[in-house]
Amino acid sequence: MSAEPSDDELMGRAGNGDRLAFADLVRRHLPRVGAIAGRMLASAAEAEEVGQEAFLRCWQKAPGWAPSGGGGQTALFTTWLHRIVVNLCIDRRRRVAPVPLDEAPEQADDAPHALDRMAEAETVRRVRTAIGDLPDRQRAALVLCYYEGMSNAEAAVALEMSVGAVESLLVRARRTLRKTLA
Amino acid sequence: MTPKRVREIVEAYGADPVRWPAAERDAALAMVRTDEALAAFVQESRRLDLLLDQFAPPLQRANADELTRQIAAATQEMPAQRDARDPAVDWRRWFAWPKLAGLAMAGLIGFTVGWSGLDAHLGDWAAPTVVALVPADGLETVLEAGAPW
Repeated sequence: MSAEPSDDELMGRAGNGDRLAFADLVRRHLPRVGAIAGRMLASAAEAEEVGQEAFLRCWQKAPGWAPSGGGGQTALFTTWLHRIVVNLCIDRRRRVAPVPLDEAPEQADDAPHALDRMAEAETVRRVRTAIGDLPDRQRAALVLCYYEGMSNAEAAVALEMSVGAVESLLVRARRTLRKTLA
Repeated sequence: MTPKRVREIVEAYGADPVRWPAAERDAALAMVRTDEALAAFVQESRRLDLLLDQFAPPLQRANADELTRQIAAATQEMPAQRDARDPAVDWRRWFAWPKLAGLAMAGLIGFTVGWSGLDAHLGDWAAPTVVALVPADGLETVLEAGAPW
């Protein structure tokens, strides 16, 4: 039984024009890229666009990708990819005027427990809005560490800052959220 | 590990020890188990976690293959990977055709001048030009009068 090719191997093959290998790489990382971008932008459509742009950058970068060997390189690839995704999301939010998060029309619901569901939906909307209102770097740190389960060291590499700075962003983000959602 | 550090960890990473820094997790957890105030602080922090957990990422396409295909298709419109790595291609890209055309034109003019013997007369043309710029009574007169330049 052969082991799955590493990210490095797939990048190397993509660098030689192997589109199937590249598709494997996309398939492997798309869910997490989508989740990061989705929470950063609170929009599935925009998250897809960011995901597409991030992977096209991978394709462009593939010919020059230099594997260092060993198991560490996989982590380097994912960290590099997540850094691209976070930066694309931040760029996009700075470039495009934020879309109101609660623009979807509310539907009347006559089913049992409708009030409970409405209250739940309202809570979700408040949380989403509060996270969306955080400064970009605070939101990125929260998405990477809290939602994506990255270690503070991984998030620090992805955000190009020190571990202490990441921790400081997280503290400020959670304090703001606690106050906003109280 | 100190109570202050435990509070910092909880404030940054939330109430779930799984998210705490691995190197500090055991020590922090041990302190929370023996310190009621810290335990209460963690419990309080859990309320925010429960709220945050309700923020799911927006719905992605049910079939990620469709988006994968779309991304793969987009690479078709980009330069082939081999081109980007081939030094010969880089060389051709650097010397784009206008530069080559300019080089060829300069070579052609040089060849024509050399072949027709025009370069032999260049010295003859230069001398009268200098003479014409200097008055007949010489350069000293010009300097005494105060040349305009």
